[in-house]
Amino acid sequence: MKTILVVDDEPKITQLARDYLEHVGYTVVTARDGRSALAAFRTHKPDLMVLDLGLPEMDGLDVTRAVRRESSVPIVMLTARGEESDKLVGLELGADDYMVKPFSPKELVARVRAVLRRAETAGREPAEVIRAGELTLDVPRMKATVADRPVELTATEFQLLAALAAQPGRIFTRAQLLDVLRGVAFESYERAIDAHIKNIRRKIEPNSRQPRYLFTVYGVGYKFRDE
Amino acid sequence: MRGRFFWRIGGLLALLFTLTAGGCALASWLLFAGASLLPRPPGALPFVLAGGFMVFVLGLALVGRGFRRMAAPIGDLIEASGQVAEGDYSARMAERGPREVRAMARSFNAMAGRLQNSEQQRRALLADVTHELRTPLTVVQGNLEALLDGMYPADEAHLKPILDETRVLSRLIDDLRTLSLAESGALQLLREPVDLAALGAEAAASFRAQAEAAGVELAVTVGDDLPLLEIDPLRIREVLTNLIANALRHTPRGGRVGIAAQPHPARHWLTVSVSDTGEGIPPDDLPHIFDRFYKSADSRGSGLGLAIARNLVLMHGGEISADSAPGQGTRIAFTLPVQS
Repeated sequence: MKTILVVDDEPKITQLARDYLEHVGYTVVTARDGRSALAAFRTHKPDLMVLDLGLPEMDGLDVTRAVRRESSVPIVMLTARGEESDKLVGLELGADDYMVKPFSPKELVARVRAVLRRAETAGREPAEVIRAGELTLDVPRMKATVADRPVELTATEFQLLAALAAQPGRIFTRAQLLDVLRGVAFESYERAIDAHIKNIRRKIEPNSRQPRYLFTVYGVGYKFRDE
Repeated sequence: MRGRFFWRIGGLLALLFTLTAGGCALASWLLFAGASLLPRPPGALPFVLAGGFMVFVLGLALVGRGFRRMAAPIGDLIEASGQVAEGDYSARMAERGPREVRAMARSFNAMAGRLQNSEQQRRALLADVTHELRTPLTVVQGNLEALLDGMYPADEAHLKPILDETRVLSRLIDDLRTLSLAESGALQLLREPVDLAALGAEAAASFRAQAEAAGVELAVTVGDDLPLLEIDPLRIREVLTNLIANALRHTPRGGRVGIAAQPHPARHWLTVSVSDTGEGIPPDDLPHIFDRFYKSADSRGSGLGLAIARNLVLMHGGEISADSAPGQGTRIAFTLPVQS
């Protein structure tokens, strides 16, 4: 039985999330502000946190920072501000996904499940061969094939694709993708990532205007398709 | 744009200079013509010519310097105002050149500063508003979905909270409208002579039933000898109802809410106060209670009531302030000037 910690200052929202999450079999703990969220995190050791960014006392970003110092528990952020910068900061601090209010409680359940599934696979040894649709990545040999036809990717492109495909559905910011490339290539501009993605799409996507594998998350970054 | 302006100024100055130089030449010619009647030391002509040429160069240098001194700051102004026109309110111009031009630069910078300030306020307001609107909207959307999904039964216990949230939304919209009118100075005060004792009693009366239900004593102590005030009665009543509603919300059963008005000894203004015997306001929160959207975690209001009250009091030329002792109660007082 997985435990989910839901943090929001509006009790009606935590109640709603609790009802939905309990309905699909999770145990739910709630908190109303940043400090009690941190306390609840330490006592209940949840498997995942749903965390509102606009909290009294200590805001969601501060809570994320504090939690990340002691744990890699998956975090799904809720944001009521439409600010792109909040999402970026949150993702870069180590949140795994975000939802903008008003959100659908069903969608929240789906996201929680997806993030938990990803957290499980991320805990294992990285897969040697990643398969998604017709795409196959042989990670140790750095070989990629689409429908059994080999695709020529540069080392940089392969690293990027492998990092994205290793965690399907996880949103990577450009800065995080840049970190992936440290050691492979010297890149200092986040916009260089867009050029690489464009090249990868040209090589692996049947139609790069309607990507099937690599999706753009506008204003934030990229993600690999989640089955 | 900037280039053409300089060419025009330059052309004008060149014309002026040519005219002046021409005038000088004419004058010296006349002078020499007159002087030629007098005996003249031989070989003086080259010196006169050289002297004339030096005067010419000096004049050119002076005109150039004056031109630069005037034109450079005007060039700055064109550039900076262009930036402001394109929405970059951080543009400032250097204060240099003649005194009048420096004064112009100062007022330009002050103007840009105000624009920048109000732009920041506008953005902050927009961010606050979207945040405040999204929270009730999340509750409405989520609960409606839960009803459709069959997660909740469609009974009163689950439908009424949704209705309540839509009321929160509509009150928020009303309050936002009042506040933005007041903040932008577009709110018209309809002043008339008002008897504050009657207004206070009327405002209190509308809370009588609510106070009785909550078991709170509502006491109005307003003297009969108050001067008439030139105020907008609807707006001041709004201030009073905001304050009384807050006080009632935070006062436990058996407590007391008092509404009082006293004239200042010099009779230049009146002090109106609403006090309660509630839980009080923590000292950290006290300086912020008049900020918009600043509210306690359990507040059911829009977070705009006190911000509106402050704006309305300021528009009447008064001041508003709060005193609070945690555990003992809160007193919010505002002043209204008395016209003599």
